[in-house]
Amino acid sequence: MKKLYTALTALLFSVLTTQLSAQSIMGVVTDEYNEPIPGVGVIIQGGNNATTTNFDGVYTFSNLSAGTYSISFEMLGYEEKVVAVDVTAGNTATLNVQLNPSLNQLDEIVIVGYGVQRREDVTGSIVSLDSRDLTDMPTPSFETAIQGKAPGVQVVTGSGIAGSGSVVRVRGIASISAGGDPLYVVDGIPITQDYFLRGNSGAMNNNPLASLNPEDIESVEILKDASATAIYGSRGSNGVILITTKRGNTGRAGEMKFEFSTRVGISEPTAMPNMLNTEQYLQLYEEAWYNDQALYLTNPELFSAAPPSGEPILPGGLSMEEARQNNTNWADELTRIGIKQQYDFALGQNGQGYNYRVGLTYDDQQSYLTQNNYQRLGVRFNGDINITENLVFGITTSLFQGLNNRVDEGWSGGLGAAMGTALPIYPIYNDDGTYFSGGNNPIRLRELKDWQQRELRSINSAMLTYNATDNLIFRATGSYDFMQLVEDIYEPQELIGSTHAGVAKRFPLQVRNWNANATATYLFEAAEGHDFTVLVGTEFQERRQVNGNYFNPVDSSYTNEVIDAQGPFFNNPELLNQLELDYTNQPGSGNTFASFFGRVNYSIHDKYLFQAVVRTDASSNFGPENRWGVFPSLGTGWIMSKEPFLYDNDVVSFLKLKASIGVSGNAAIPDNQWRATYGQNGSYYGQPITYQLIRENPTLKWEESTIFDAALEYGFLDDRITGEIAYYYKYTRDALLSVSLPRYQGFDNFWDNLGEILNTGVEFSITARPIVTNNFTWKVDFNAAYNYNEIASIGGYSEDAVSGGTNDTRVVVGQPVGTNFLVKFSHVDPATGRPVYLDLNGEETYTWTPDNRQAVGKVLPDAIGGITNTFNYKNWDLSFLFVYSIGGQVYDSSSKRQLGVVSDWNMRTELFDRWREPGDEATFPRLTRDPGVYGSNTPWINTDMWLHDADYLRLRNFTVGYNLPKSSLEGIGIDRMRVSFIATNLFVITNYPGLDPEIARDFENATDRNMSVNITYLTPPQERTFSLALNVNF
Amino acid sequence: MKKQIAKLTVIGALLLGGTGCSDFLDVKPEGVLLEGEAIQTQQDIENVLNSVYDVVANVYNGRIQAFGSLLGDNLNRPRSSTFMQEIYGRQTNIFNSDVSAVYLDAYRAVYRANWLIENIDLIDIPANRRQEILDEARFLRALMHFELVRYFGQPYGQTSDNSHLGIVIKTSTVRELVPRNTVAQVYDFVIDELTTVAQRLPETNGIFATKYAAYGVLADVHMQMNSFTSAAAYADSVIESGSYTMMTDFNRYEAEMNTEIVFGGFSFASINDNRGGSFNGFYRWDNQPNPNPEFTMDRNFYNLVASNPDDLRDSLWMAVVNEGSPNELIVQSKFNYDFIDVPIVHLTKLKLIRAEALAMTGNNLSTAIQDINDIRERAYGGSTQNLDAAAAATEVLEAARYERRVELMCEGDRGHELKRLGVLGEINTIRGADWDCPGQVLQFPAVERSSVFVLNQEGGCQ
Repeated sequence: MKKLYTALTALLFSVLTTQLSAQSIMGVVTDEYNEPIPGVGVIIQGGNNATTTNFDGVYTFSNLSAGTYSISFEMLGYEEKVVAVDVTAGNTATLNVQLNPSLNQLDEIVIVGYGVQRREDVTGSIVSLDSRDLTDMPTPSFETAIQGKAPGVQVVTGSGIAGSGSVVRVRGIASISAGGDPLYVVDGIPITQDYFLRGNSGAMNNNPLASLNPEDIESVEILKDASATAIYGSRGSNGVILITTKRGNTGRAGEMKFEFSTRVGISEPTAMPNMLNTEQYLQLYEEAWYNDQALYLTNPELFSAAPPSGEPILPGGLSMEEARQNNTNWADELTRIGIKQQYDFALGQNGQGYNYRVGLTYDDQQSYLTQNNYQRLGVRFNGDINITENLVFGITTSLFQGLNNRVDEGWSGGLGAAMGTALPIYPIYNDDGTYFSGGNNPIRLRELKDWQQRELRSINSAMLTYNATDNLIFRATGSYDFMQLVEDIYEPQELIGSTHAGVAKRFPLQVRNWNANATATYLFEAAEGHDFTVLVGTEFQERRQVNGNYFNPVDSSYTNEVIDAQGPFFNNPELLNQLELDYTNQPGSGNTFASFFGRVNYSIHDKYLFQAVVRTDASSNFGPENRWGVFPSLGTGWIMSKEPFLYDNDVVSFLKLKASIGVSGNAAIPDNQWRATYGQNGSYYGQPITYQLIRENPTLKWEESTIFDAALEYGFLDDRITGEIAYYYKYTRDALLSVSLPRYQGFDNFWDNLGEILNTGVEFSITARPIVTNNFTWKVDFNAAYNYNEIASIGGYSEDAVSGGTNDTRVVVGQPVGTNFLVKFSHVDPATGRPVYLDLNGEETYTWTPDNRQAVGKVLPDAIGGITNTFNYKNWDLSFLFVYSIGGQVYDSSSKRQLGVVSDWNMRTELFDRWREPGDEATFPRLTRDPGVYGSNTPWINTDMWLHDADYLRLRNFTVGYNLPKSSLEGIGIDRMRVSFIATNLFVITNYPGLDPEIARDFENATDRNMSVNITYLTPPQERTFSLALNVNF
Repeated sequence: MKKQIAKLTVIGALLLGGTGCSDFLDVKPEGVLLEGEAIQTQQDIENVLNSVYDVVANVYNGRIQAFGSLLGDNLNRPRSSTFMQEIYGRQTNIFNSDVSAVYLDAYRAVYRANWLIENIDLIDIPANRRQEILDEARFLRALMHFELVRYFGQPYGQTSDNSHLGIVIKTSTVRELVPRNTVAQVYDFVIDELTTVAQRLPETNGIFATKYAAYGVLADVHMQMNSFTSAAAYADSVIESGSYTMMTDFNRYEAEMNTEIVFGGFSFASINDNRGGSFNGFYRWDNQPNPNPEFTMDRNFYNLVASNPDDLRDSLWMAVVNEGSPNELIVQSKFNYDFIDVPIVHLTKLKLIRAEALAMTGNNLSTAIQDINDIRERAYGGSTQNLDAAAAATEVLEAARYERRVELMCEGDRGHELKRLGVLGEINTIRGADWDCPGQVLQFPAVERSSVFVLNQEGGCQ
């Protein structure tokens, strides 16, 4: 629409100038995305002829004499450009110019908690990403797109399961049992971000961020240090991620804007497992069988039981003959090329006294796993209206439905089964066409089980802003974040193997989360050059979680299932006819926060910056003795480039030194753990009993991190090179541990403030434009972050007091959070073929015992980062993002079964490098079916044999784009049209022998999530995608 | 400007003040009780005491007895459970969750007892009953300490001053990391507690703890210490009370049938509450078409009992199924009941204690002989195998030990008995391993280890 105006105007001008028979120059100035820029200063050099572009970016010079002109284009926030143009007699020269944004972000606005600041004035450490950073590639969930773009922010991309979430860590990890994820705040409300609402099912945790549409997001700011996070008080110590959704106020006044974008692509796994085929499996199985028989004759003491005599007996009771008839490649059967599609449409208007934006989205993301896809359908409306001149009412509202067609994966089935107990010797179908069920048949499970999870999510806020004067602003916001999860499972008779027709199950739950806050902001200049901004505010938040149960009036029972159902609830609504939904019967949980906060910013001549923040929080989750906490911070900055000695320096264009110190907390623990509670279930000899369920801990409080941060922001060569170097030191006290108490205390688990954790590190980022010409630019963004993490204390408890679920990571003083605590494997004894381990003194031993476990690795990397190269040539652009991780380990937990004692698990081809006869120098020991031969009485033993370096360099994103020239669009009323091709995860360079060196598996609880990233247990690898995208603005 | 600041101050005060925060911040958990709701009347305190008995009965539902039987020489290697095989093989490690579950439950009972002792005055209770509740709690607490110290420390007498490490004595609910107490300290504690409460506990108390229960445990404790005079005296005071009568049948574990129980864990059939579930799980074989119990009897032990044609116990308490075939099993029949009452202190055992203790001291042999003969007449269906009234002490001793082994088969006694004999120097090995090699004691759970708590020595009994 706007383009139409522009074209008409241009046409009109050109007609006029021609008629005047004088020479003219005219053209349109656009930005890097072909959006016209109004207000650009256009100056003919060597004279005093100057103008500015109008609303449509159009400028014109008339009454010129013929000749060559050198014209400069200047605009704040953009790099100056000087272009020469020839004007021939009697003609109008057209000179359209595209300006590149300046890397000098002095005037960039940054969202901080409860307000905005100029980037220049910020004393804290804040990374800003804009919407383009978040939508430049297809991701299962928006946070995945942050990877490699924000220094010090580790993003471990989720598995290949549709809708899976990533693990995000800001500057290492400062928590053990409390949630270690950053606090996510969407348009001012800390949203529900519980990954364990549905526990761990099908090898997946529900991802609470999946229902946020990346296309709705205007910007994401990541607050990293205390100066930035202290305003979030008891919840900021693992960083804060502020998400701001798009509003209608960014366009030019009055104009309607339309945006349409679509992306269509395919998904495939980044790696496929190398499992044995039937012939190979039988070969190794037979070898183990006969090995044992032979060894038993000479060394019966090694065996926990006498090996069976005679011919091999195969798993599933198959004979060798029957087994040879099958050769099922289960991994192939359970994967596919997934189709991904996404459509977004938005319209918005920045009107007189009002603005709005409406966005609609639909997408359907199939994963490469058969029958697994995630669909989103959503609408968002954001708007503001001036009720009076001083009073603005704003609203932010969204409604999303996420529909996840779930599958069993990992340890639960699917591709995980293909890497486990689904053996190649098993068929999919029996001869009569029925499903084979004599052994694990993941196809049978996948095809018979119906499993759907439907999420309804609505995040809303209403905001009233009163500008009492130009300097005094009051704002009140009320927000409501509603989440409803309904999980439906149907298992037909054949699967459950009972006389019932089938069992339909439904598990509904709701999380209701409301927040109200009010702030007052006052700006004043105490004296010339002494500017103050004062913010005070208060906030209240309440979260309730209610689990739904169905009441059956027939037998007065509560139930979540109907037996003898013909299909799942979602297809058979009549199943609900007999049932009443009750949300109050089950124990719910909830918490509240009440807070007061203030922030003072003081700037002296825009050169010396000071910020003081204090927040005081009270929470129902803290014990009464520590209910209120105070979280202060102080920050200071010095913009050295404004000092006389650097002012107008040719080399140094910007230099700012900043430092801050402060305290922030973490309160992400289960509700009401401080309070003694009692139960009365059961009886003894018919007598009632009463007993304590939770031990009282009246001193339970938040974790507290003291954070020091110092950084230098720099810009060189007129900001052709910009960046930041930062150092931080973060010491966490009173870290919350869900500690397995020594059993003599008489209690299993107990929440207490016990730990101390150190995180310290440096971050480096640089953005440079090595080449900038009129037609070609090359831009490089590079960042690197080094983090050192160490548990300084766990209050004297044992390494086993806090364990990372089933993942064999432990808390070890002097070692990082998530330490692999394993028995050391030394070598395979060439004489006997038995594995040799090392005890704690480094002595070799044939015996495996957990007492010889020691810290042998860590899941946290030393260094992470990313590098993006962007090339623009005329209308073409090409960019690619590499991400890397150095110094961490992967524990391939499932390989202890795939490469260990021969059992009913399939094995991997590496196992061919095994010991066979005395003198063999082999990677793997002699094959056996008896764990005793490996020196253990349990077959699944954890050793560092399964621990691998996880260093990798991955081509995360590769994009080629083409912006259609304006000239070809003008005629059809389109402002901008872009087509692009995007490939993700094209390759990864790593020495890791397993599937994918970057692993965010399913977790058991928050402790596990903190301690067991990069542990795999049959976790499906990430996906590789290829997409075509089209973006149209009109 | 000043006006603006004043205005700001007013607004700020409005924002900061006047909020009823304490209600807002008190979020009550649903579906559970808070202390004020749970403890309101005397009955609530009684219910807490019941919950201590509840846990104690769970400890004794066959689980803790299994360890004592496996460490002895009457059973075969367990057939499938890795954890149970570890106990039998005397190489438990910190991850043996069968061991840690029982250990935790025993201390759970201790915690509940301590909680009760610390909080009994939340409610006004008549002084007599108040003292009784406290004494019952202390009895149960001492009993748990005694059971644990026998499994997790080397036996009493292994060192001359018993300075070797036992378990943690826990007498408060305070959370603390503490070192293990010595075996001497634990036995002193147990004896002090039991003798104190025995003076006050009533002679009858339904199924709950009595004076005689405390005496019975004291007899057991002193026997374990090889303190024969005291053991005989305590056993004597229970037996001679006349409150308990010898059974004539062999269904010692059948619910509501045992007249010998001084203290036990009781089932409550009317609400389907069986307190011998683990006994059933380990041994029961009569309720399945193809018997497949986890624990089976050692052939030599079976032969020993069966070699005496008069002995009824080989056929009543044991059976050979699939005889002669590769899947032959010698199974245990003591626990073939749907509901089990578990005798913890009972007359047969007390008589065996008294007989052996008297034989060791050489005093009052006639009482010892009578005790043996009471048991023999039942076991052999008559007096054919009775000891002669003039039998020598050594003869009485041999008979007492033999009958103890057979009579208490699978009741968890054999391992402790053999260790005790090891202390006396009468045996050197148990199933081929030194009686006090490291694997003879169970390993503590992994989480016990702390900066002050030392685990048991690793290495089993090679």
